[in-house]
Amino acid sequence: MIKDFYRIYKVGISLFIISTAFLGSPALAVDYTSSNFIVRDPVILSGAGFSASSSFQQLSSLGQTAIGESSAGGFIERSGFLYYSVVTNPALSGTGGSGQASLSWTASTASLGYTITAYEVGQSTISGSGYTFTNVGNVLSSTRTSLTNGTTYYFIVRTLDSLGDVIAISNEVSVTPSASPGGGGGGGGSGTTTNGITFSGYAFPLSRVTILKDGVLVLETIAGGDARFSVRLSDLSTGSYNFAVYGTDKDGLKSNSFSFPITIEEGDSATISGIFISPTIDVDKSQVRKGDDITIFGQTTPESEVTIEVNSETQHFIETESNDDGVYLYNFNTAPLEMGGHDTKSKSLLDNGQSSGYGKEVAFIVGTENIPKVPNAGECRADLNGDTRVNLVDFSIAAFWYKKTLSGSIVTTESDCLNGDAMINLVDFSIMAFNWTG
Amino acid sequence: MKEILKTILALSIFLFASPVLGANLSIQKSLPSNNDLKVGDETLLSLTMSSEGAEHNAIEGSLKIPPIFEVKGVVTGDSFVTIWLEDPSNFKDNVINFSGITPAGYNREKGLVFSVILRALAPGAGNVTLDEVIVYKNDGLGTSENLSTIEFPLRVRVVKDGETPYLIGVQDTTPPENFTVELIKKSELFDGKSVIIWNTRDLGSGIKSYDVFEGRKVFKQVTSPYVLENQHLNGKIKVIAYDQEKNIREVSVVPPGRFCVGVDCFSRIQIIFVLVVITMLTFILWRKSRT
Repeated sequence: MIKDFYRIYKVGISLFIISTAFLGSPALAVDYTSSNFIVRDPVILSGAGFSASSSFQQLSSLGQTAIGESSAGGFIERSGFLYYSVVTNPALSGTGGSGQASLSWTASTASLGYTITAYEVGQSTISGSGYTFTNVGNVLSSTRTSLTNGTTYYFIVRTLDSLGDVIAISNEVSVTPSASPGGGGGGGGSGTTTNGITFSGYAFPLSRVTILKDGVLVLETIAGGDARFSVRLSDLSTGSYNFAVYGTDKDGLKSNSFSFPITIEEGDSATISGIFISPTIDVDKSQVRKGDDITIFGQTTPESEVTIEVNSETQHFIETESNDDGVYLYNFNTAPLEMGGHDTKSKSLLDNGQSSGYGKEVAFIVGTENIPKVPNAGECRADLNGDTRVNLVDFSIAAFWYKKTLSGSIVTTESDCLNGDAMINLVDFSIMAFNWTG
Repeated sequence: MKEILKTILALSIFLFASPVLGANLSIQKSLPSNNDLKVGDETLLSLTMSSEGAEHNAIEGSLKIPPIFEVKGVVTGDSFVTIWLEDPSNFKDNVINFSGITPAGYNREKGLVFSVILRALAPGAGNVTLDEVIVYKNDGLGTSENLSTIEFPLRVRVVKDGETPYLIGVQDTTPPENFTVELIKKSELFDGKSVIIWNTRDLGSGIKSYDVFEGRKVFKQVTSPYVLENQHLNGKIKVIAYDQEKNIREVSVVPPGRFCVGVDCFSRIQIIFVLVVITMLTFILWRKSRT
């Protein structure tokens, strides 16, 4: 009896070993998540199928060894389980003329399958709704005519892919066409105008909103408790300007700049509305022990849907919501992240579907111990004279040392605040331009 | 008046575009509107850059002009570059080096870097060469993109009897934009010396040069930052910006401890001294009148 039981036991063990050898369970990779779905335990396949084109041959599936894309003249291989195509929103600006509105926008960029084929201009007399769309082709400007002087028109631009689907939406601008100023005396014509530009949109509740004209700080205002702001810049000469708008949150964190070019013609009056400043972001640890939580936080508009992206070999998307003060906070568990450097960024979505676009990226390390992040420690970020601003003073300091051998205190300053290559060249000025506060 | 040039530039950019050899930089022959150039003619070339969706904030490069032309001028008025490190207006011979930044970034299609006016000196053919071009992404990391060399061919023929030269007039009567002059003095900067800094744009023909006045002394064609010669700061400091058409914008800075600028005024101590003397004299006269 015992012998039989032992024989059965041995057979059972043998069968188990054989079955594990031949019928091994599939290797499971990490889950893939997005804001609205999750793929649990995706299976790695080792070899399947055969694909070919005139200039490319794929003999077997590469499985999930690495995500990315390989291309040849007539073939693209996209390996991996899921792709997150990124499409940037066009930044729209507009100016009014007599019976018309001149619109221009920045190009959307797309990747991994999306091809931008055209833009649609939406026109309405109601802010945020009721748009009538016109396909204007793959161009970056359009003049809308037959408008009524004195009536405010609202415009948005939608980006279309090769299937004609909308894949990105711009900010809204309002334009009030008006008849050109009357002759009134003629002569002169210095090219100056008393008209200006009104900037309005969303920042963070009670935050400081800064407007730069060609890199010079020209206006500051405080957003309301609902994060809305509106400010007017007058007395502009005719010409082309680069404007940038950024917000500073309650903790002193600065958002990315929302920048756009505007050309002012004689008698122009424009409103740039629908500016949606991207959220600020920071983390509580410069290094986090693998498996522990890292807190990701920042500020945006109140009660908004916030998407946090954590970049590693796999992108992780988290959705959370900001509170009444626009503050959002998420404790992200780092177990799925690889050891090494990572970064995170966030964007915000309003009830009306308007997206802010992603803001600044913040870096952190997944390692073997937790190291708290000291706010602003070691981050002078191009602020060469330490006055918490990056402007012409810092530019001048760097310009003084441009292409010269560094000596004295500038050596340390360059190392701490710029790219640390012991020289001042255009790379350093590019870093400065990115961090520019005016 | 400035509108004339602006309109010409805007319209002409769409004409006679050269083949784009770089990823997103190109040279256009904006004027004249035909391909017929003869000795004595002037031509306007525009260097433009398309961001193609990505944001950039810095650009540098070198534009080399063939010897059958002379560089008559460089127009930076409508440039998206707002602060120049190497201003193309300061060209030497037939080489125009340039580098500059756009704070907070630039994202535009066919944005103007600058235009150059050339005058044909001799018949023949030559290439305008744009090389050593590097653009930097607005990513805070100084990520660079090296662009391919662009060659733009030009041909000049001899003048026939009775032909008059085609000339390009830059009309600009508007002075440079108003600006501020900042006086800084820090022990760790510029060897602890007092320095003035400034920047401005001219939306028409572009900035030509700056002069600095220290009291009655004039220092011609200086650049920011400017280390003051008079470190005592007891004189008036004035910066004059000139555009290419000699329109000027004048800005003064008040040195610390002084009341006024624009006229030679007393220092605070001198005025107090004069007030004390006047008060004493008044008091003495009052005492005398009583006795």
